Amino acid sequence: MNSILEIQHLSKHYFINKEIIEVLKDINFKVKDDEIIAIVGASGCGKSSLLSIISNLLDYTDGKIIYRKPLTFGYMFQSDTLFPWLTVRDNCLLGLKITKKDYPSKEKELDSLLKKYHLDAFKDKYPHNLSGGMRQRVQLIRTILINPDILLLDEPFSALDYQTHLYIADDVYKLVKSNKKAMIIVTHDIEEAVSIADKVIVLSNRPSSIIKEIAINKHNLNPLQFRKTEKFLEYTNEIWELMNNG
Amino acid sequence: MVEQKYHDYLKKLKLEKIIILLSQISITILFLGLWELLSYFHVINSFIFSSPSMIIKTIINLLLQGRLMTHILITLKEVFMAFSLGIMISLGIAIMMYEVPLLAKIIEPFLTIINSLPKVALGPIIIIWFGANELSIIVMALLINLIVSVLTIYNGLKEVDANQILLLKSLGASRYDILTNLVLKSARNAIISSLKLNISMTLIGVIMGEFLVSKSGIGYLIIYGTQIFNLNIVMSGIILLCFISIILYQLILLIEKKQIKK
Repeated sequence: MNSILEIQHLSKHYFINKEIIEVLKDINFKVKDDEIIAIVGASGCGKSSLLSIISNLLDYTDGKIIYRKPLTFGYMFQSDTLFPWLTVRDNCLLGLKITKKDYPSKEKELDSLLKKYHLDAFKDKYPHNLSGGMRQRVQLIRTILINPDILLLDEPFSALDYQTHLYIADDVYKLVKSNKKAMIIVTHDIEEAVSIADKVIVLSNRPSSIIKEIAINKHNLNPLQFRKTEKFLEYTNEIWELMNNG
Repeated sequence: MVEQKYHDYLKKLKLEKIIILLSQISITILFLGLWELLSYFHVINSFIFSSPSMIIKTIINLLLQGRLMTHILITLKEVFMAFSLGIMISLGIAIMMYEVPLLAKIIEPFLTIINSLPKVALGPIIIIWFGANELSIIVMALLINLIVSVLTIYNGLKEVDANQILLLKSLGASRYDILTNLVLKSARNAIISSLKLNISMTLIGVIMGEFLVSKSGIGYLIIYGTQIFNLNIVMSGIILLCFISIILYQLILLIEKKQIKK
């Protein structure tokens, strides 16, 4: 497995009026081309900033990011980023429209995804007609359809009820693994991180640096199955301890 | 049981609507009736206060003489020109301010100062600069409608969700993509609000301009009525303005409804 991107000694400061706030300090890690990485840390520690930096949406102060090839990013946010004036179908196709990919050829894929996520009856409805869980699924379809090299998920399941959260996380995992894609998920939910990731990066409080990288060996279990194992508890306890002391 | 309660609820809603409408009609009839009676029995001086029947007679006379339609059409033409120019220019300025935040920071205080200035004070200068013609009327209306529109639209553009912008940027969207696919659409409520403000401001500006320079139009009609001390003409002009204002506002509401449906 090759790494598709490598972050070296990265730091990020915010300059707010006369104040300098150091958010990220000497961050180093690699992302392999079919690896799922979860970044956990307390709220406000700079997790989302790190994701924005990786996708070139935000400048950093120092360090380096090496991209092994030009990457396309599929970003999924914590907040609802559906466009209220577009139907479910048009929201799903938005990514393709912007990236100018050929979307008539994706119609079939869209239909099957809508069916899979029980949204086919809502494809001509507007976001305000959908529940929080349904909206998040539309965002997921929009992200999947552009077939990005790397998925960036910023607390993507936090608005969902617990059960839907588990099922969608499981779906995302299978999808990423079956397509051999890379994914970075940012979360404050330790259980979510352990259940979905191949590697968990634990960040300290601000200025955040990496406390530890923990490789998660799931023995080919998917997230739902892995949650039921002893090993899952061990990992979550270990991270819990690290975060409490960090 | 539920159906009965729902039926009662609908009935209550309908009744409330009827009460409101009937009250509004009664107030209007009462006001007009009282005005007519007071004038008829010389309690008020009909030469100064006119009366509803005299206003109707005046409007019919003006119509028969063929002058009224010309005045209305001229005012409407000026309103239309100042309104469309105002919207186009203010949309352009607001977009520039949004796209170049430094420019916004530089010109915002100037806009606030110009906005707080009573524009009618500029009337004499406008006449000297642009002449005693239709152009001065349109410039006057633009001065009144432009700044408010710019500020309303600009504030609407600024309200766009930062994460939605990030999403489009992460997809590699250009500034033009972001503007057309997101910013303008997300600000459409502000743009419609500015249309509503703009139409009433434009009407004020046009009438003010007609007071100052014109030889035709409803504003001119009102000034002419005052000069020859014919209050029936003055009142007729005001009543016509009310109707024009209602119709133009309803047209904007129609656009708003169409936009919401989309």
